[in-house]
Amino acid sequence: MAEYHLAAPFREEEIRALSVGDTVYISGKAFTCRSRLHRYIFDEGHPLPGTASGRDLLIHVGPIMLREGEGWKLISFMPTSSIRFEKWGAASVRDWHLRMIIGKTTMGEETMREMADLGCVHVSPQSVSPNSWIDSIRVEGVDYYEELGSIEATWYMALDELGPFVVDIDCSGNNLYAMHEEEVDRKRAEVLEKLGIEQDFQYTKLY
Amino acid sequence: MLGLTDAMRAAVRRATEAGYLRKTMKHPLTGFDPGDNIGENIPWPSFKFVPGDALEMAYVAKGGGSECFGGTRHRVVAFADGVKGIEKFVIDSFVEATRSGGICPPNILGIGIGGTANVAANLAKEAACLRPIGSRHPEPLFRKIEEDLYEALNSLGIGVMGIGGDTSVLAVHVEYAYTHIAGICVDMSANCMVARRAATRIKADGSTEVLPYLNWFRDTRLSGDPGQEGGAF
Repeated sequence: MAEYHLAAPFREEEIRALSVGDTVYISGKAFTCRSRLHRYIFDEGHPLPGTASGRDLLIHVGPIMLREGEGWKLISFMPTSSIRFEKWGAASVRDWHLRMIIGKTTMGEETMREMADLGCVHVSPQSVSPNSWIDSIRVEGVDYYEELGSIEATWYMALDELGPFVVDIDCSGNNLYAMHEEEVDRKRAEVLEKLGIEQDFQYTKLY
Repeated sequence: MLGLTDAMRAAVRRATEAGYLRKTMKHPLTGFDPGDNIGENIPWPSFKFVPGDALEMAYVAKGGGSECFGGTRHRVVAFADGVKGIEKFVIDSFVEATRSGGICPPNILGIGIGGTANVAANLAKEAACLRPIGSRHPEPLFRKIEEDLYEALNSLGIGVMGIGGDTSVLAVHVEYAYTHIAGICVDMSANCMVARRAATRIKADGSTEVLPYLNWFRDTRLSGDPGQEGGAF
């Protein structure tokens, strides 16, 4: 479980060198989405904006932004659960040439396969309060603001040593959470036994 | 009442414009974004009428992960299954809800027991979001469930954000209501990882006082409820 300091755009080999459980701090250029962007592009036929297509770091986040003069002020920022865009996950990794996705929870099997094939990882925030990162993020611009609104627009951000994140899906098909599930299930059996709840306990079927 | 509801809507609009609230609330089918978090049935305030000449209010900002992403669970447990059924439901629900770090553990959990589906859900959320963190229910039967579940859930090895560790819940708060004899509604609700909340008292003379928390259950608990005699099933 090593610690890395990486800058986007990434080289494929530095992404493939990451393993689940590694800690990463991230600098460089990113763009944001929520699943509304995936739907807008893949189902409704709009193009990925040119600025985004030059970036290989996708952050699944709906930030709070306020107008400040000609620019924008970032008020709050916390990545959110990536499984929401699983429906378009593989397509976005492939078509948007992603090397890293910052989000919470996980991606499904189809997306994980594409990530392993093409060299992309998923990382999630650990023990971070939503506002503690504001000074490490510079807002560079926005596309689809009028069309999708401030949360679901595509924001361009420059990151300065943002982290820590833990790698939870690597390029070898490993998923940190899936590896952990078996242990939790074993401990659940112990916990139920301790409370005197039989392993074969069946709820009375009321409906 | 109407004035209070109008004032809350105005406050939500102002808080959204100022950036304290994200423009989160949308039309459920069309995705229409009003841009101010105001729409059909939203905001949805909860009121309780108690003796006195002051108004106390709390605001709790709760993220969608803890609310919609598996943090709220419901089941009707038969009287035949009793406390075992209730505890199993909470443990299984918590394991499922924290898979892949879903509800951002460690959590402050609320459990609502009894009433009807909406009553149990409200009690669970109020227990998670409004009670002093780590406080214990005054009645021994419910205090025991709180203590048993706190220990059990912290023995699951779920840990911070679900990647393993010894701390999975920070507190378990149980609230209950008398239930219809047909069965026991049980709900689990999780507070948001950030656990933001604020409470204030507005006195009759218009002055205000910041409260450490809202004592939401103070005036509605029966003292010395006769129902606890004889122990649980």
